[in-house]
Amino acid sequence: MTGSSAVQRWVGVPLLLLGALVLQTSLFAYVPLFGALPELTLLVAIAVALEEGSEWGAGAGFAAGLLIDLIGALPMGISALSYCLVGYFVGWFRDHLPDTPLAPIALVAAATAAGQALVLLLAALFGQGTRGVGALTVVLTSLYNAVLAIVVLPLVHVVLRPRGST
Amino acid sequence: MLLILLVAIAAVLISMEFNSGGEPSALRKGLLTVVKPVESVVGTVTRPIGRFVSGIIHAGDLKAENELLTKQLEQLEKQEADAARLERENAELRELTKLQNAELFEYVTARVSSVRVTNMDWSIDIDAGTGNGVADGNPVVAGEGLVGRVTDATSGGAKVLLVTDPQFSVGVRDERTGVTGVVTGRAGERPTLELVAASADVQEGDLLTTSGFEGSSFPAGIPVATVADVRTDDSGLTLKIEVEPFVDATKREFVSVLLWTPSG
Repeated sequence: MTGSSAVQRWVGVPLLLLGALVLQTSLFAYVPLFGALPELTLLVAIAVALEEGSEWGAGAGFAAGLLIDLIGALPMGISALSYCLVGYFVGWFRDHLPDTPLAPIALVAAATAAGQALVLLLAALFGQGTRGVGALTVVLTSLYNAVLAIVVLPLVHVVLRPRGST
Repeated sequence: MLLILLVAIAAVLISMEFNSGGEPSALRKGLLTVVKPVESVVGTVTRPIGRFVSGIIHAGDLKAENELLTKQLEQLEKQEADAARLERENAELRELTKLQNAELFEYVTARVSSVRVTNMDWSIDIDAGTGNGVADGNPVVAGEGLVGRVTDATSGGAKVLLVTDPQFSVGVRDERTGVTGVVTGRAGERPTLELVAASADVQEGDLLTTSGFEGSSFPAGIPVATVADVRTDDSGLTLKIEVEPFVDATKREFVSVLLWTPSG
């Protein structure tokens, strides 16, 4: 497994995150699945963690969360902290995944649920109310992300590792 | 280690937001000024696609909505005839009492540039900002009903905290009985009304408008919500009241920002 070059990472990851943010605010915000919106920036951070491991996962997660905090109404840092932890642990889990094509998809669903739960917990701790998000919304969002992962994971792979290197 | 560093930065950011006492921090505004233009320029291209996809998915709803709107239009036309008569009457009475029209505010009309972006977000973005005279705390209305309050105004845009946000509350008066209380957002659920007096007369269908007391965050008389459900709680002492906001802000394309800030 040849790692992607530093240039590919430093250019590719920010571009992927910004692309995810724009798609989230301008496209997917209008296309809820039974009332639940996907978390596209978190999904990209998870995909980066799966490609590049814990350190990049934590960094991408932090950046993704910061963007969401800026655009949304939550105090800055809550999503950044949550997604940073999620990115780190996804990077750690990737070395322990069973070798089936479904494993990364399942990990995306679990990590999305964990990220949302963390944000909700922190928001409640900091007196931001319950945000009106129930378990059902968390499950639906995780499913939504898992479905989108079928497209996003290969896309992130291609961006970070061009020239067919696997 | 990187993880610890990033967690520490996030913790600092969170504490900064809280030390700024509810006001958006300078750092947040600075970052928004950088990120927002990029997002809105690219969004100009991708947003119509989003609305188009959403339109296809909700084609069935649109048909039903069309029928409903046609029906409402007929009703409104009838009401308009009544209103014209009342307006004449009102003008005459006003003349008599020499009452100045103090209820008009300067306002700017803004386009909704993005609706709530995540499940936990109960705000919308608009394309009018400090460059248009908009300031933090300005009330935002649409179709004569309250939408929310401006936060994070930057030069080219602003965020509007919606009535449904858990951080949002507004003093209201029951138009029928004059009873006062506070409406508080509950995110995905209907906002609640807490009354100042426990045993007050509030019924389903009552219209609630901003009370506009001295030092209030809103001018008086803006419709906020209608009472949707009134129940006494288990102890039988206090009322549990849910209200339906007047405007569903996520379905609006334009809103008006009143250039009004709380005095004091």
